[in-house]
Amino acid sequence: MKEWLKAVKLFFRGAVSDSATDKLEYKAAVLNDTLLTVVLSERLGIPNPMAYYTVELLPYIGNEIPGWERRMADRESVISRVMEEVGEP
Amino acid sequence: MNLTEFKTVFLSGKGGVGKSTVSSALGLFFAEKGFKTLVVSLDPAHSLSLTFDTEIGEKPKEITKNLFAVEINPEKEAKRYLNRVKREARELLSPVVIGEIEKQIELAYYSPGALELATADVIYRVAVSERKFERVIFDTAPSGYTLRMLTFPELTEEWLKKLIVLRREALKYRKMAGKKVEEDPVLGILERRLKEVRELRNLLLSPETLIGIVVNPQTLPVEIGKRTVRELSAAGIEAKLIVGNKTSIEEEKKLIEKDFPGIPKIFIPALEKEPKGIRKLQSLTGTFKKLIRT
Repeated sequence: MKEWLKAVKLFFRGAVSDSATDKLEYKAAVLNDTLLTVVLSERLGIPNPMAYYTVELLPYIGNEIPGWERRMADRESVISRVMEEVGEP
Repeated sequence: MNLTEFKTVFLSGKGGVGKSTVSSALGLFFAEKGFKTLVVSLDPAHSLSLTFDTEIGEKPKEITKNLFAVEINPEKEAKRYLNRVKREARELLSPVVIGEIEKQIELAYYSPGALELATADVIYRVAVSERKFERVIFDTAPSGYTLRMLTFPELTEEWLKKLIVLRREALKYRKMAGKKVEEDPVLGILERRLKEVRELRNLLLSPETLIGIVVNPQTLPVEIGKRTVRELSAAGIEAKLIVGNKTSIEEEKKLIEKDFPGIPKIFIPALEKEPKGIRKLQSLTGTFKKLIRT
């Protein structure tokens, strides 16, 4: 029983501290997604006057694109995550 | 004003007014004064080979003492750059995304402004980063579009700065979350571009840079010249010289003087035959000493 309680404690501690790093990681991802949206704006139908310059970034951000596409398509999750971050109005 | 004080020269003007001839003769004038000079053609339809009457390629070729010429095609330059990016992408990206990315890189060649930005890259390389000459003359000035891109900070600089901030912040939070953050190539590229854009703008606005417009005493070249003066001034750049090429008669000179008030002028008389080769060009270099102020 004691063992079990210990495990439960550990679980909650992990959950709490993890959510802190989670938030930081989430913030980083939101900022990075904004950057990707500017660089990949043509995929959303928005012309990019700097396309000639921004393609140079593609080899280094290309692997981040599938995740970005998923988040862009799943708009509800984007909104709900932002709500989570700033809190309900 | 003495023309030899200018270290970098851009000559603009309607096609056929004799930009290449004027650039070549001005290059020869600088070379005669003892400056190591490079004349650069950025026009895919090169004509320096014709004015100097010798085959000129992608590498600077010595024409005569102190005078070199080169013909660079921005289209080729753009293809080379995009091929490099494609190679890097193939090396670094997973097969899942590479197809789409390669397509996007290829499409960038046709994106609006691509050739102008490629031209700007060539200018930066020749006149700033790899500069090996005391005087550099660009036959064919950057277009109004390029100038606007380069001279309006809001257009390129602010845009790059914002991307830099986004990336930097993202990396900061990633680091705070305990993730390892190494030197970021994305940030490196954006910062390099920002530096290039700033240096190019400084070059265009420098008092040591001469932006000149070549005209003929005819309505169309003069009207297009006037439009260029307006475009330049809208971009914050001053046209510092008008070259009235093929202008012999006083009446014609008066007309050009009236159309471009306040800008120093040079008149080059019409010749019976087009000046081809160093010998013929030598007969024109004297005209660059006679600056006319009105």
